[in-house]
Amino acid sequence: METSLAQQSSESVFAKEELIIAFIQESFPSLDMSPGTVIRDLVIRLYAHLETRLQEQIDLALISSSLLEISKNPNVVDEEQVERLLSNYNVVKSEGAKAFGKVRIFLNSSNSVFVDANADIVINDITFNPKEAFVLLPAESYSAAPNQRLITRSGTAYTALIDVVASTTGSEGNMRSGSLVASLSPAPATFVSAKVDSDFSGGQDADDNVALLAKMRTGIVGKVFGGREHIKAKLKNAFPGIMDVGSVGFLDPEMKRDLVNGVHSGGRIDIFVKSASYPSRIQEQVIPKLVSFNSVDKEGLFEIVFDENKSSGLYIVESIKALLTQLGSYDIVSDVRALGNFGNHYIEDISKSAFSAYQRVTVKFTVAFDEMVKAWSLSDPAPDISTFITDLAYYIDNQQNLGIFKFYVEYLKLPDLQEIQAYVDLASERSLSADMLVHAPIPVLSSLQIRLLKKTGSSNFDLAKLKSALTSKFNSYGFGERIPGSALVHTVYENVPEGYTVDLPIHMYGVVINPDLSKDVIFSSDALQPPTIYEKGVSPNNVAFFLESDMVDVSIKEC
Amino acid sequence: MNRISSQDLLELVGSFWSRIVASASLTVKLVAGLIAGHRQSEQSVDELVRSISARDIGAGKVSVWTKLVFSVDSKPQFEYGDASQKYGIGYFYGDLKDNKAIYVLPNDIISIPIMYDDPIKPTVSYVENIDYILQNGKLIFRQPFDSTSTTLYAFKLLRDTSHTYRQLGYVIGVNLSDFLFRKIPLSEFWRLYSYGPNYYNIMRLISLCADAPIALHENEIVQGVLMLPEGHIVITDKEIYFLKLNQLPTVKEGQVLKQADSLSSGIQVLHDKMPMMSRNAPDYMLENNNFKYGSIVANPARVIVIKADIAGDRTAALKYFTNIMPLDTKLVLLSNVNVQAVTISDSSMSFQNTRTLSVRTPPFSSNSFTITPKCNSRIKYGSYGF
Repeated sequence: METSLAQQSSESVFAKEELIIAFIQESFPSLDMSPGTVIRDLVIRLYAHLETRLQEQIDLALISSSLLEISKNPNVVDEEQVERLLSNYNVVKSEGAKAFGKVRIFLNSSNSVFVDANADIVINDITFNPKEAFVLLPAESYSAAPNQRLITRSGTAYTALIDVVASTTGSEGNMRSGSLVASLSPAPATFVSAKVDSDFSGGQDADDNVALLAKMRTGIVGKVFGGREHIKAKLKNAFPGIMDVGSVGFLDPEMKRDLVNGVHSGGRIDIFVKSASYPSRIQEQVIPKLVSFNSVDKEGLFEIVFDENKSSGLYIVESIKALLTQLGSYDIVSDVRALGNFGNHYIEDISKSAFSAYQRVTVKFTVAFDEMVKAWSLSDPAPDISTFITDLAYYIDNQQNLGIFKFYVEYLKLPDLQEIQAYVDLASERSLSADMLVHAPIPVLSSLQIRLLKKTGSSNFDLAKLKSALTSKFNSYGFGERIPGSALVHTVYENVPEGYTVDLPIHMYGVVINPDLSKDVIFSSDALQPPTIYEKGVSPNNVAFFLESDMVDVSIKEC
Repeated sequence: MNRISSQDLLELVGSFWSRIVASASLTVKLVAGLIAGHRQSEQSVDELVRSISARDIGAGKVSVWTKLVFSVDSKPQFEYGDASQKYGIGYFYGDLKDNKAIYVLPNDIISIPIMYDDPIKPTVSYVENIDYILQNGKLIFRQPFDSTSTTLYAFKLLRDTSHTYRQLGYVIGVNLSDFLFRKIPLSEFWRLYSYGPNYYNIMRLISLCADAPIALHENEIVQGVLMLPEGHIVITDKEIYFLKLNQLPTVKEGQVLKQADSLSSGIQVLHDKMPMMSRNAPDYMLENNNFKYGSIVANPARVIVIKADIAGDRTAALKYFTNIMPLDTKLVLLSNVNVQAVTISDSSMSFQNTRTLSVRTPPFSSNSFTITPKCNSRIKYGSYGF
């Protein structure tokens, strides 16, 4: 970096001059060394400038070798120096990754259509492209070729799923389930609308210095199943998508799994893995069991048993409906968690393995007969109620093998819990002294309310971008950290133009889903604190806050 | 690092400058001044090179030459709330304390190893811990100056600039002052973080926090234990260890030590994962044969209890144990079991850290006050669980 002598800190130069003058004047107090004299200007000042320059270069080298300093002065240090430094810590700067997922296309007929591989699909101002060219076909023409997608009927609409990939890297491409497609160009002839089917994933921002700082610790800390930092480093190293890891061990008040006859036996560690910045919202069609039909209320009772893949890390079932276009959900009357095959782990009961890879989820829901008809999937017309009641035994017996009633279920879960548990249990990796059980963290599903005062005449801004920035900031906090309102206010000011003021206080709410599935509500205007309820096994070691942009309410008042 | 000497430079350019300025003496001073400035750059380069190594990084930054003027301005004054102290005749805020030997320095100065009256040809030199001590931002001379204003040149004055944290400490999240990193080197944390919590690494860090040595090598043979007025010396075939006054040796001549074995009462393993709770542990930890932790009863086979007298600012390091100790085991540190309370009698000052003074015999004194450690009471111990 080139700096002219004139740009040097005059204070630094003067301090050096003073030091030399002090040496000389110890013996020659009457010697004139004021500015303008030969010794001062030709010798001392020249030397001071050169020495100061050297000192500045050394200081710059010190700053360049500290990512902490780099994060404070990101423009001072060149990229190559950063890369050089990172290599010491086994860290490679991520260039980011593109988000991907499935888009559900609604058509007005079951006729075959073609979706161009170069089609632009715009969702919340982000452009996606089909993963490849797709042919959407009705069942009679469908041969399961890789680029074929089956058109199915949902009420009066016809739908098909296609895979899409963001055109650019970044986490802003991780769209939430239900986000509407603003445009599809070129669109198939029978195209009506489209929306995101399940949460997109995979979108990652290129590493900035703050992210690198966090990665450096993971790089240097020993990858062993030992202390909290080591466990975190080991898992983050094996699964780069993990956001944070919290751990609970022997004699931590929230540790209940090592209790034997009231005595803590130790040797057990519960690991809480925040494997994504927000739980995935997954929507899929299921064929539930018809448990019974109440002919008085004309209401069917159905049961969905989630298999181990789906149950792993599952928080809540949000909705069950017959049609994709339907609003709301049928009544979920029970959500029962049970234990699957947990191998050699010690798990006394399901309350000790909430949101783990070993939980099994069964929900029951009721549907009025009129609504059941909407879920009818056979080609024959649905029966009237009296016929249905007459043949109830047939329908109960054959519901699942014939797929008579099909519903769409939407649920929230953290991904990759099974893979992480399998890794922890791996013979070559596992701890020889501790039984380690992987859980999804205890979630605090949060919402945020902010009111902005807009000065008349101020320009408009991109509200979706602001919500995305707030969400990103909110979800970036790790285990044990409080979420300060001031940090969110700061994020607002970084994303709005001049003329806007945050009308304090802001309001932050959170719903804690405890391991026993009971719920607690917390709120704050200053800082959202991770709750501590030891008797329920809830503590800052295992609680994670989650916020999605739909739950950010930004209102603007012009004044 | 090779350093340029003023003599070399003088031989190189001295004859020319002597002709220009017409004074050999002035040339010598000029060259010495230039070299003094250059020394700072050399020092900085040295610190830069060392800062890339967790093993070698220095705690703090050195100013090679610093001019210090001790005058009335740098003497301590009464502060608000000092009224209960009756020093001299002054009671009022801003009045000078009647003390000729104490001067206030910036708090970030960690150490001044030596001070000279003249940086080139000194006639008087003052040495830290002999002629003065530096404590809590106050410099206390053994003998006061006669003159009202005295200029001294501090050589290699060490400042706390959070250098260690900013360069490497942040990588593992250990944020301690340079002052503390001088006592507990970063490399000890680095090893625990990077290699994991094995027995030696844990014991080594605890020993540094307690300022009580442990055996550094496997199979060290004790060759002698000497008692001195300042403490005990344990000599082995590989090392020489110093035990402070309040640490009694627990090893004997001829004893073979394993790595990480304790040498004194300053650090003792009271219980180490035994099936039955050791009777060495304090009563409040015992519940029949189990370990009692508050209202919780636990299997002692997972518990390690270590008595380590950790006091003063070193306790700041304890918070970093939480994230690096093994989670399937509980390490309980009993602290301050044998630390004796120190009272300062007839002194005009109070000290936060009395431990430095407690090893000082005979009592440190000046003509205006005397500090005498009185070991007459015990601080009740506290325990830390990790």
